[in-house]
Amino acid sequence: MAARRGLRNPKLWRDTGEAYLYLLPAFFVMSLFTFYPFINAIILSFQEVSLVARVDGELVPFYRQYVGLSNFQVLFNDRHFIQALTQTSLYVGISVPLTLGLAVLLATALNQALRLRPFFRLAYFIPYITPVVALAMVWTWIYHDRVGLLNYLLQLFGLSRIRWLNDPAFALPSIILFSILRYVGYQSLILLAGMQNIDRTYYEAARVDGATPLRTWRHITLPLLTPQLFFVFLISLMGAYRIFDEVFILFAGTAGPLGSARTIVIYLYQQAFVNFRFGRAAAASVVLFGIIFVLALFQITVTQRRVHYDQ
Amino acid sequence: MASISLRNVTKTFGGNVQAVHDMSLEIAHGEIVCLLGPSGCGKTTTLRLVAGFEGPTAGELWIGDRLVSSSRTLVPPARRNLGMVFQDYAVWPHKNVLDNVGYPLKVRKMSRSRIRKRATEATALVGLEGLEKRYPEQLSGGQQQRVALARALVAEPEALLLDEPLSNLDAKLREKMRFEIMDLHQRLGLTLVYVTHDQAEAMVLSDWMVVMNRGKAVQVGTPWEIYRSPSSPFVADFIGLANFLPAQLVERNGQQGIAEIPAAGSQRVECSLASEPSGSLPVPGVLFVRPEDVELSSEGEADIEGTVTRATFLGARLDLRVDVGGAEWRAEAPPGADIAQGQAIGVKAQRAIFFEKEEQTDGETADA
Repeated sequence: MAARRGLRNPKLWRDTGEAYLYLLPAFFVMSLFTFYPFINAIILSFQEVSLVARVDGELVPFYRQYVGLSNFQVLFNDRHFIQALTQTSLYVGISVPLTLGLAVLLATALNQALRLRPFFRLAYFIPYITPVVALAMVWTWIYHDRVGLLNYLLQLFGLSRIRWLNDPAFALPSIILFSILRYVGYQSLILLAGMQNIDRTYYEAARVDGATPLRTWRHITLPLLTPQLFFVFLISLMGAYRIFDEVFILFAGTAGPLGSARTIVIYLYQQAFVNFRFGRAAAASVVLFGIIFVLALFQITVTQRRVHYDQ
Repeated sequence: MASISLRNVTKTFGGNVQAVHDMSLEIAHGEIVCLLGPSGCGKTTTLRLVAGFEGPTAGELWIGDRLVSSSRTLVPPARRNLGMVFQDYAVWPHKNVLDNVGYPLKVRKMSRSRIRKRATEATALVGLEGLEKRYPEQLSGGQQQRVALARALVAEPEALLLDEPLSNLDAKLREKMRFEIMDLHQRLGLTLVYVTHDQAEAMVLSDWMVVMNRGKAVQVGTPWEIYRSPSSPFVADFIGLANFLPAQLVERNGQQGIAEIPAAGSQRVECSLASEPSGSLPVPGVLFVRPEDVELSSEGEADIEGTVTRATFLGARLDLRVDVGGAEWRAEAPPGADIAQGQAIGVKAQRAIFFEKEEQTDGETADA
């Protein structure tokens, strides 16, 4: 053992100093683009911002004034924000479990000895790496009233057309369908990787015992897949609350018919960059942060007890 | 009755990789048989054929009076009434000990209380009472392997298949578990097929054993037969320590003969013949002598003399390397023997087997 340990070891200090030196560039960039905006947004949520204000007879641009919790008060009395909150939660509550469930089934299918597996892997991955703007452009056509693919198919089966993007009842389902198809492939590939990591002998032991494929799937595959399920669920839950791009393109920057496509970030965007109410927008972002933060905590503490990591 | 019978079983993978070649074995009920060989020799494939994870390309496999595998039929593993223990335990990490052990019964739709009772019994049988609620990550490797053993036994199989079950354990525990497995075997009276690459394990456990190399059973016999009378240089080399001394068979009398060792001043050694010599005398080959069969004597007392190049103390014995005219002999002496490096010493092969030259160069030579 070295004679000098802990804080009195000069080598430790040297190594630590060196490590910090390497971390410095990343820290600088993150400070500028992550930490500073993050802290500033929190401060901003307690302020009211005037684009131009006359203070003591002088014009001051971007004037900030502390207003306490009034931004939050206004927010929770704004029916548009409440609408955004409930609709986003509805979207998350439906699309995340549905996507994950489908992804598990897809992964199970892909995990069979399957011809053309590389093809399917690629096919499922493409939607995830395609820029969402490009995808959304295609989907605006798919959902189009008169020339869209979906309505064409509906009519082919003798059903009446649906005004996907213009009917308040179908705005949210349209977003959900789009996002399921966008993420299901990617999620299933993560789960597939997890499944293929499960040791073959676990299955063989179950085979000797006479477990049917369905039982094996329930009793062995799923429990041993919980780390990946947990990861995918957590990531997509937090991602889904931040949904913006696809809605922005599909509904051309609006909140949809009667605000039926208004999500939290759409609300935030409109407050900040259409109405220039930066304080209120910042308050909305703090609420969003709070939701995601609580979800993350909840996930980590509650779910971890049921997660099985293979040694 | 769970006798296991392999009849000319061949398993080919991907059209040209012959993992098991024309294997025939008759394992009687209640016997312990070890399949022993270097890695890649086909022993695990043989076990997997018995288990039913693989189907044979040709040949038949019978358990009791049931045909379970042939090129046309393949009874699934679960319907063979076998238990299986894997090298890396395959104990499910998300189930506790009792749930792991009870799983085969749960699959058989047994009532909850009976599962509990029998799983508890099986857990106790392998010496894990008190640990029923533990999860595998809270157990040592040896304990996990006991869980696997209990799980394999809980459904009262007629035969137990073990695939290198002790390879991941440390030496002390391995030895302890060997005897526990023997003990279990005696109490339960089931047929045991045991795959290992560890010759000591095979020697301890087997009623008889099968030495395999390159997909073939190169020798079948009791540990004693295989150790004392290996049928080929490969077996001789694989089991225990061996001296192979280049020699010539110069006289022959039935299964006995006399060989000359050129490196030791053409000294003549009595030997038995592994096989019928193919040509006329003198026949070139190698003389196989176990280190413990090398008789040592003081300088000047023996016909052959050499120099001790290394004397290594191994606790129970002294391991010696003796240079005899350029050839190295391994020999043994009692731990307290007064033998030092550089000392001249007399050597005499007490018991030797002569192998013909081409036997060493054919497909059965140890190279793994």
